[in-house]
Amino acid sequence: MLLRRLLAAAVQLGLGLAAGLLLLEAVLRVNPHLLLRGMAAAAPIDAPLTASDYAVRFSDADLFFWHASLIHPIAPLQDQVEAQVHFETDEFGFANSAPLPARADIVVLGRSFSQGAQAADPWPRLFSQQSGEAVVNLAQPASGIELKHRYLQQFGFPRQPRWVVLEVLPSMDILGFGPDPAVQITALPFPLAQTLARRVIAAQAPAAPDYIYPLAVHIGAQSFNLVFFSYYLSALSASRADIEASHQWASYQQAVLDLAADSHAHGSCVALLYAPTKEELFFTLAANPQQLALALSAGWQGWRLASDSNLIQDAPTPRDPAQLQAQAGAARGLVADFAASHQLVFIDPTVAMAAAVADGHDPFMTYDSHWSALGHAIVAGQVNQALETHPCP
Amino acid sequence: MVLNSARYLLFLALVALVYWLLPRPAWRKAWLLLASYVFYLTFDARFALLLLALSAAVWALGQGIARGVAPRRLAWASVALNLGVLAVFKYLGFFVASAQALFERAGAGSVAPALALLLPVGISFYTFQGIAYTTEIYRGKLHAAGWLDLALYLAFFPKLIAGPLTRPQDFFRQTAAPAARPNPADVSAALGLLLLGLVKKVLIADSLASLADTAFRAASLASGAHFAMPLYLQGFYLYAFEIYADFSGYTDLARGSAALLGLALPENFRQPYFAATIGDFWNRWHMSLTAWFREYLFFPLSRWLLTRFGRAHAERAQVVANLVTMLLIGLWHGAAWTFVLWGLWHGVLLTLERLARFKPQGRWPRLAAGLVTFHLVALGWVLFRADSLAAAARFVAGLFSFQQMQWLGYYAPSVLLVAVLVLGIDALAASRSARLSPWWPRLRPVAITASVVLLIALGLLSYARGGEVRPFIYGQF
Repeated sequence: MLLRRLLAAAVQLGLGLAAGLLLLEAVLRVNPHLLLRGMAAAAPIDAPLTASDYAVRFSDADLFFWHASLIHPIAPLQDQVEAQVHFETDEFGFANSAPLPARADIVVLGRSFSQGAQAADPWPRLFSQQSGEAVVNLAQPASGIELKHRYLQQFGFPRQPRWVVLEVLPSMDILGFGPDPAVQITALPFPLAQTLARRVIAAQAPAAPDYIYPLAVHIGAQSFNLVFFSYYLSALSASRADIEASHQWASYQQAVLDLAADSHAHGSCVALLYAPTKEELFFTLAANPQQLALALSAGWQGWRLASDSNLIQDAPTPRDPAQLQAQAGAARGLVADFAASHQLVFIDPTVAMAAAVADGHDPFMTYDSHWSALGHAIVAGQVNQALETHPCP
Repeated sequence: MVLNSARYLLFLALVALVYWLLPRPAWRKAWLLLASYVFYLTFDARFALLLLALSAAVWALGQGIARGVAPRRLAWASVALNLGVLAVFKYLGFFVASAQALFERAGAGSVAPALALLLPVGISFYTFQGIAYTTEIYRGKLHAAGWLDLALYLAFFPKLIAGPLTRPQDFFRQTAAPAARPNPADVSAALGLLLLGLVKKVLIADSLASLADTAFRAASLASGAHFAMPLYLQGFYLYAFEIYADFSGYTDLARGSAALLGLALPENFRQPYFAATIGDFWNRWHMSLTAWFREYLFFPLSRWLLTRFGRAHAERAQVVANLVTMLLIGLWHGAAWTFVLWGLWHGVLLTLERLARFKPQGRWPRLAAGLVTFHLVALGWVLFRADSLAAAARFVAGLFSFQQMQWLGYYAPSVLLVAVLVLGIDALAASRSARLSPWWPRLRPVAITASVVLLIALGLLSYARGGEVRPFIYGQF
């Protein structure tokens, strides 16, 4: 009798759990705005039709979020405003003014770099102003290639774009390649635990400070105070040969080719927009890489090719900055070759950004990993130039 | 401290624990009064002072009425005081702004400075209960209450913010003879109500139906008509469900909180979207407010009109009383022309029903009439929710624009999910699903487990996002 009751209670509990999780899945599917940033979502996670005005200060930078213990605290008087942002979302939650136009010339697919929530004038807006083209920005932070493809199908193709501009950020898109979870709930516990843990850690008294940033770096006659993101630094540790032989690269190439084929079938041309990171740019430019050595003391892990051909992040931190410098352009070269071999337009603002650095201007934000106003202006100019010189039939 | 916050649930648990440990009824009342003021102080100390002063005045006037010293004058004074407080804090700014707009349109320029008084939380509810108390004493249906009883009646924290409006006799009867110890069945029912209230508020109203915000934001933009029609359809249906889940969720939390303290608050909703007519809807929606207006406005006004104009004009008197009552119900909700028009919309529909003597009979006619009634009510909610009359007009235009219908599949799932949840809960509550009833004792633990899992997950997500707790819609009235 007792056993029967216990069994019945267990069945009821199990059914309740299953019903609760199923309903949670349904809730998160119809309202992805409840999700946390960084979770693969079926729709943008910014609330639709909202407008907010805010100042982005040094202390608002994402790198304080990731590496608070490595960066010297900023005195209030030194906490400068880097951008005055007016951030609008359209009726679906993408970073556009509402309502979305029925027709668009260009659709942008990308991550946080192209979304531009830290920039007064993100490059898609600048480009639209410069070229007079109707641009729909479908960039969404943390969106992988499969999600970008879904956004394109759902929100992009109905507007019959001439061009699809796809941002490529190798450290996230290629090294961090992973298929989207089929069910959102499977992805829920990790980001949730991560966010909650971060809150607890942030509330604790800081450990003994071990500040290494901002790091003074001299490039030619110019001097820059830089803060690096360890994840982007770690991406420089993967060699071209390892990336090329990896499952991630094969999967990513296939996903891009699928997206390109789908775009062509809808009458659109595809351009790949390479997204240089601060780490990649400055490691490439530094005449004396040893001045960057301190950045390698943070204890992050490098990437290596495992025996099953997967790139995994469990290699020791490289100690020699020259080694990272030698590999810094590996992913860039690989993506450029891939684009060339498949007749995809390749837009690479790296050279223009390097020229700006040589003139003493920083295309990146000081404490943030994203492009500065100058960086967005360079990207807008490069996209404009590329699309003008490569007419889409 | 809103009722759907973890802080409130902890507060309630502490209040209930101490309440049941106290041996004497008077101590318990004093404890509940103290807890109610602590609860109110969490909103604004000035609000608590106003409530305290009003309670003292209503109590003193009630004593005077009971002693028979110029009872009519004192009763009017008490009613005027309550309405005066409400008028000053809730409506003065609105009337000054409306007059200002009228003068400016007539070219008279500025006539008065703009007023922006802070609206004390729950003022519409406690002033109306003050009026009910005074009127009942004046009518000889109630003895004047002691200071502690009256102060608790007006300030009792579960119903302080948004009701339900409680008849003073019902409240005093319970506080005069409280149960010695908690009844396990009542506690279980109270916890069930609290859980149901949280599910309605957190899951249905806040997590799903709040998607209606997008359509209303679209309508508030000047270019509103260029958005897809399915967006407006989503907003139209979801807001109807949101306001119901939000307000009935609040009521369940209020009734569950009171039940945990051994007190019963009246029901406020009886499956309103199953109503076959508008009249039927008002017998099921915000029942305590409808009862208040019926008792203290509609009946006296009807009687006065009949006396003044005679039985020959009975139908016209009813129409006038109807329209005036509904217009004031609209104005009671908020100081804006959208609320006035919303009240008038219902007044006109009720009048038309009355004149046509519309009473559908039979299953299918009632079902068809119910569908029409739901859509008429939902159309009224557009006025209720819109930022302005222009925004409401844009919303209605968007509802019939037939633009970009290809987005129907994108917006429909949320509406279907919310409709299934809301109507499913109501169908269960009404025991309409007779086939399910014998299964309910076995399904209950499953439903409770699923609800707890959902609430924990949504609560954690909300906390991790750093989002603020969404207040109740009726908390602003």
